[in-house]
Order: sequence, then structure tokens, then C-alpha cells
Amino acid sequence: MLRRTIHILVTGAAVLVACCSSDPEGPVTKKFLEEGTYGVRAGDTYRFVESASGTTVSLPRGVGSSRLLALGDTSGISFEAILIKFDFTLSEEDSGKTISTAFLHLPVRSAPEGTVQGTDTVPFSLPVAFYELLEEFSEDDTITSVPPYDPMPIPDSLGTTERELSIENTDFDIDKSFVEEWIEGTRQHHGVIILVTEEPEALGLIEMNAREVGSDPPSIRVEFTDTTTAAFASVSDYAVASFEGEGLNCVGGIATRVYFDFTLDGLDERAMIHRSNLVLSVRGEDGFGATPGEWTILGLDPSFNYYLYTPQVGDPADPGFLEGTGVDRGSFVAYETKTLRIPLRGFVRDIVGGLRVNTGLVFQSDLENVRIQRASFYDVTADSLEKPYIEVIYSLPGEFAGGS
Amino acid sequence: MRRAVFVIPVFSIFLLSVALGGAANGQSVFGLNFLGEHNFRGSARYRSLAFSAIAVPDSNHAITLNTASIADLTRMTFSVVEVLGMSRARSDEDISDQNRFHLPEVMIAVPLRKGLVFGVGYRTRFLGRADFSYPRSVPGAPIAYEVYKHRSSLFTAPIALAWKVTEWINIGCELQIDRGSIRDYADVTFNEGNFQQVESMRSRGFSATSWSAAVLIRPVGRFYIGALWDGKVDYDVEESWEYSRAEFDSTALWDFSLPVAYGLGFAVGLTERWWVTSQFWKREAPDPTGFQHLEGSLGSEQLIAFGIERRRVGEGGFFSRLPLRLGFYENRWHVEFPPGEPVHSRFITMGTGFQLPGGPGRLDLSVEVGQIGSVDNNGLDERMVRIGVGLSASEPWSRRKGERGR
Repeated sequence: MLRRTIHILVTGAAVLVACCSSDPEGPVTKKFLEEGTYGVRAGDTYRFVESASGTTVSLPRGVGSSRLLALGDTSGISFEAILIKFDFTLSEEDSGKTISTAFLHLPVRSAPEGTVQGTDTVPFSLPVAFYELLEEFSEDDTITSVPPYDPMPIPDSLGTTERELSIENTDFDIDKSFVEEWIEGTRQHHGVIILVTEEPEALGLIEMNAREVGSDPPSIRVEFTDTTTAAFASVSDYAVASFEGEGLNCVGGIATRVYFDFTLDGLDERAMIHRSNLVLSVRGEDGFGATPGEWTILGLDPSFNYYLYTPQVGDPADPGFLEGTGVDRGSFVAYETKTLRIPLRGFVRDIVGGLRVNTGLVFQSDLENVRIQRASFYDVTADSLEKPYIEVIYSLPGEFAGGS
Repeated sequence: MRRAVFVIPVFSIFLLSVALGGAANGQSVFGLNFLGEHNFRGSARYRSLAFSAIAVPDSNHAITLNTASIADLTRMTFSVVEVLGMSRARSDEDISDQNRFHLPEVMIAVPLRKGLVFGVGYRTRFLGRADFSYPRSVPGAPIAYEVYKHRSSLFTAPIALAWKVTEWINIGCELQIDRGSIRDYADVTFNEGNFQQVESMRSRGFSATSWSAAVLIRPVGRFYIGALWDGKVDYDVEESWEYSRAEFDSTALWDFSLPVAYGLGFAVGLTERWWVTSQFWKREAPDPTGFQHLEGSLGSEQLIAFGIERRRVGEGGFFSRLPLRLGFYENRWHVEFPPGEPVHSRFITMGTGFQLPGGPGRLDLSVEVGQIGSVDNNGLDERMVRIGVGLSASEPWSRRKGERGR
């Protein structure tokens, strides 16, 4: 009886203990906080805002390794020319054959919607002409303007030089004598440049395979008199693009970066940082992360990929400006995002703690050498809500009453 | 062997309950202030007698109110007591239900020879524990939360010696190794990604050595007088502050004194079974060194306690063999809240005990029902039930037959 009673009591106590739970003590303890007897108080929390002046810094780049070659205009970026160099090595079995016809094959993959005229749809087209380059080029070069070329266009077999490039019109007859001489080596072949000859009525890009796609590259195709054919594929191709625009523009592949300069002098020196941000209002109408062809044909993410770093030197003319410490890397949809809030992670914390000198922040495309993309932002002349600014949310150190 | 079969599972369940309760909060919400809530010493027997039994000889427990009491132990005795508190704290507007555990108090006492007992153990002097948070709005930012965490524990490891000088007088003393810490965390956090919590923490480490002395006198028959003198505790305090920004970290050293405390009480045996006990205990107001924000809010602490015990007899029915204990105490805290308004704990206590089967030893239970503070006077109160479980196990302290003469 006694033993059983003890067991029941102790087991009951254990069950009671195991089932216990407590409410938060918060509300009832507030009196001790407010009247100061507890003597401990978390530091107040604030949001500090300081506007940042932005400057667009041009750093010419090129994207020779792109998988699509574009021609036309989009979002302020002009794809002025396409350079293609072909390999005219003739196979032994074709040696000595006579060319009857020659075509330049441009494998167009993407173009803007055509215009409807009556019951027909007229495809979007660009007036182009083909010229011989006077100098060699390399895909590794930085080519930001049209290189020198022979002003005499390469004609077709009838002597015509004006062509219409569209998604339906991708093979162009060219004078076979040019090809024969390129094959024989009697004519220097530095490459062919394709230029838009007239400003088109509508903006848009026509995009075609580059050799990097791996199949169906740009090529010159010939038919011999014995009805056999041969193709001379691109060994090097390049889309020449340029950008001119006002305001804060970050363009990958061209390239421009945006340098933000600001001061943190107004920040409380006791600040313990919860989070700090570079806040940018995005001008979405000008932004894109990938060309239509890259997006729809290659399936690339249309987001703008950015990289934010603090430069070694805050002077854009100094080589140290191009190098620094990474602050954040991320992506956003440049044509949809209204406000871009980039976390500055330990950057402001390091400055406040004296571990780093404030040399500002540089915003660049993280695909600067890979892809042409653009993001634009409102600058300090914009309305107060749209100006770039640094935002720091911080708390002061907790206060502990008493002590020595 | 029969006894071990019983004690081991009971003790295991007991320890399990303590372990399971580790996540619960501790002590009264008033313990957030100053050093925490004062934890009076005593096993479940003494708790059920409302800490009034300072003048009671005890041949079963090593955890007593009076060090001199353990001189009556004739066996090596191990005692432990654990308390679970369940309370409802209320202010004018808010209610919070709490379940809390005290750290167990333990003591082992070894008779060196008849009437001379040596003891060593652990007991908590002050304890406070709380976790709470409040939302905070920051213009232009998500909701932030002030997050507070309070952990205080001042404890002592007593090394005791008690001597039964004559049949009518016991004396005892303790060398008390006092240690402990009070840690307060005041953090600000956001429940949002990419927001870092900022932390502020103050830690106070307390270190001291102190003495206490006690006497238990039986002038006549069943009349006992007990007295306890608990010497001034001069703590060396090492204080440190730590923040999310390490350059703000700092340390300081200072001294803090806990004044002398003394207790005086009597026990009268009305009959062999019925005893009345009482104690008055007091410690003067501490100097607010280190707690300057409590200047004017620290008064003397005192305890007035009464108890009545019907002791067990070895024969009769089941209930005749159970002791019954009843008591009442009022404890005035050091902290006054608001300044000038003392905080009182008033508790009615009750309990009983069981002889452990198979040999000497006790399992005691206590229940305390009461209230700390009052909404009218202190702005908040806490209605509390405390359940105490005490276990004392004893073994004769002698050499085995085969060891004699070696």
C-alpha cells in the first residue's frame, strides 16, 4: 500500500512536470522595464537614410562568345554590325571543282513579330549589306565600333548589294568570284561584316546562330558544277554593340557600371547594424536581362544579374576602381522591378567599426563578359522617393543600469 | 537489495522530472529584479512547515533550516529536494501562466562519530529566470522585437560541521563557498531574412566565502530554541558587457555585500505527536552598490513563519502512520516595487512524508499555496502553487565485519 502510494505520487509529479508549459512572461514584466527596477533595456532602433549620388562609368567590353548574333536596336542598345570569318579550307574531293553558285547562310532564329498588311503578315526585316573586313578580328577583342571595311559591298550574282534580312530570308546569293578567290587565297579574307544600311521603321533585333551554338552556324554554301555542294562555316563571329543613354545605366557586355558615392557621417557611431541596403528605383522601361532570342530560343533567364562591390579606390580613373571587395550578388527582373533593395551585408558594419574605408559602391552586370543586359535607375535629380539612397536599420547598444 | 529496487526507480523518476523541466522558466516574475527570488533552505518537510522549523531536531534529513539539527543524524544521509512552481502572474491588463523549477538542493551528511556530523552540499540562495519579448515599430522597417533573457543564480556550497555538545545543546557551523552569476541579454531582432540580430549582454559573476553558525537548544522537555547566524557575504563581482560590436565590450570589478542574516525560532511539543514551530528571520537592507537604479527600493528582507506538525507513529492505520504538516509564512522581499512599497509573499503550506520501505529514509511532499505581491500595491501579483518533493536516503556509517581489525 505504502509503496504503491509513493510510486503513484512520484509518477504523478513526473507526468505533471512533463506536461507543463508556460506563457510568455512579456506583458506582465513590462512594469519592471518601464519603471526601471529591472534595469535592463534594449537599445532603441532607428532607420538611417542617406542619399547616394550615382555616376555611370563606361568600361568598354565585348561579348565575342555569345551564342546568338544580333542585329538591330533594342532598349537603347544598338547592335550595329555582325562580323563573321569563314574557314575556306577545301576538302580534297572538292579540290579542282568549279563553283556554280554561292550563298551566305545566316541562320536566323529570332525576330520581332511581323506587321499585318491586309491578309498577309509581312515579316520584320532589316536592310543589310555585306562588306569585306580590312583587318582581322578575334572573339576575344573588345570591339565597340564598326571596324574598317571595304566600302564596296559584296554583290550577288546579278550585282545587287541591298538585301533584306528576315526570319524568312536567310540565304543570300553572293558573287561566286569572291568565294573562289577566298578559297584560292588570291583574295585576303579577314572576314565579312554585315551592316544595317538604313534605319528600320521599327526597333527590334534579328538574332541568328553564332558558331558557339554548335550546329547550323553562319556559313557560305557553294554548289559546284557537278551539282555537289560544300559549306564553309564560321570560325569566328562577333556582334558589335554600342550604348548611349542618359541617367544611371548599367549595361552588361558593352559595358557600363554605376558608381554610388555617399557618406555615413550622419550615422550614430554606436550603431549596431541589423541590415543596410542600397535602394534603387528602377526605370523598368529600359531594362532587360537577355535579348528575346536568348530568352525564347536559348532559354536563358531574363533576369538582370548584378554584382555589387566596393572598389579599392573611389576614383573611376584609377585602375583600383575596377577591383575591390564583393558586397552582394543577385538578380532581378529589370523591366518589372520597381525598387531594388540590395543588402550591403557587412559593408556598413565594417565602415562603422573602422575596419573599412568608405570608397563607395559599384554596381555592375555580373554577366559583363557574357551577355548584353541593361538596368537603369533614377538618379539624384529624381523625386525624393526615387533617388538612390543608403538605408541602415540599426539599434543602439542595450542599456544596463547599475554596475561599478 | 529490496530497498535499492525501490529507491532507484523513484529517484530516477525524480531526476527525469527535473531534466524534463529544464526548459521551463524559473522563479517568480519578481525575481527579475535585484538578485532574484530568495530561496529559503530546507527539505520538503521544512517547506511544508512554512520554513518555521528552525528549532527542530532531525534524525532523517540532511537539508534542514538549522545546521545544528544534523548533529542528530546517526547514519550517512543523502537528501535532495526539488520544487515545481506553477503560477499565474497578473498585472492590471495582462495575465501570464508560468511553470517553473528550482534547482535541486542537495546535501550529504556523514556522522564522523556519535554527535559529530560533517556535511557538504549545494543550495541556491537567489534565483531568477525569465524570457520575454516585446514588439517594437520602426518607421520604414519591419516590426522589430526586443528580446530579453534573464538568468540569475547565486548559490552556495556549504561545508558543514554539527556537534551535539550535550543532550540539550547542538551547535553547527558552515563554511559557505558562494558563487553565481546574473546574466541579462537585451537583444533586438527582426523576424525577417537578412536582418541580423543585435545583441547586448551583461554578465555579473559573483564570488565569495562566508560563514554561518547555528545552535539548537532544548532548555526543558519538549521545548526547543533554534538560532541561525548567516554571516555577511562579501562578493567580488566581475562584470562584463558584450555587444554585437566587440569594440564596445568592457569589464569592471566591484564589491557587493549581502548583509548578515539571522533567524530565531522555537518548537514546542504539545504532545509526543503534536508540535508547534515558529521562526523569525531577517536580513538588513543591502547597500545598492551595483544596483544603483534600486536606490531607495531596497529594504530589509524578513520571514515570519508558523507551523504545526502531527508526527507519525509506528503503529495504527495507514493515515496514523503518516505525518501531517501545516504552516503559514510571510516573506517580505528586499525589493520594493514601486519604491517604498514592499513585496510580500504569503503562503499556506502543507505536506506529509513516507518512510522509505526497506530501511531508513524518507520521501517528503510539500504543497505551498500563496501569492507574491499584489496588484493594488505592487501593480502585479503572482498566485502560485509550489510542489516540493524531498528524498532522504540513509545508510549506517560503519565498517563491515571483515574490515574490523585491519
